[in-house]
Amino acid sequence: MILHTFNSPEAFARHSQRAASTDQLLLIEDGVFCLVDPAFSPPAGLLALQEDLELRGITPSQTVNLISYKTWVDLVVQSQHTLSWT
Amino acid sequence: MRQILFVLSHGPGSTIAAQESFDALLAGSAFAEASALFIGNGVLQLITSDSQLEMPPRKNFNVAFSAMPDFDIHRIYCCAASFHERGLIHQDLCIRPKLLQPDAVAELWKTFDRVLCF
Repeated sequence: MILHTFNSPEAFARHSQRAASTDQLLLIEDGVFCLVDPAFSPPAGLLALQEDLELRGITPSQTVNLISYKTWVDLVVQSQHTLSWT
Repeated sequence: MRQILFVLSHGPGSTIAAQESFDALLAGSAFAEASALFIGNGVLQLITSDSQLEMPPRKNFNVAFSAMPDFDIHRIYCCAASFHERGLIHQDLCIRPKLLQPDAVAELWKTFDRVLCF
């Protein structure tokens, strides 16, 4: 499993299609602004860092799994690589 | 020796991100077996200054790309999809990277000890 993190909506648009079906996708920092775009359709199993949503006052309307920093660390440990798309 | 893949995904232009990623690649080649993958807008870094494409003059750091073999960087890849989406042809490129289809790119990560994205 490879963990892909996206720190901007642009990074998500450019690189999210590279993920394999077994990979995990995580929105961090300004990447969580994807979730305020009504046209955004999140792929199944998309993760977002809860603290970054709260910092920006975002309440997601789409289906997204909110995770904590601790869960992020667990994911990093479990994954073979973390690819940080910027 | 540890194998590290440097992923260069930033296009040239308003920021120094593209040049910084190349600097990191050269620095990384000193302590690991470094390889390069140009992907997304990163493939635009490869456009040679004598290409037929019309573009404004810019600081041309990609003349240093031909030095990569001297830094023991022999495996240089380019995402074929990113390359074709941007309408590039081989004659536009300053070096000859190995073109990889997207499924091959997805497999490429697994063959390296570390992958660093820029």
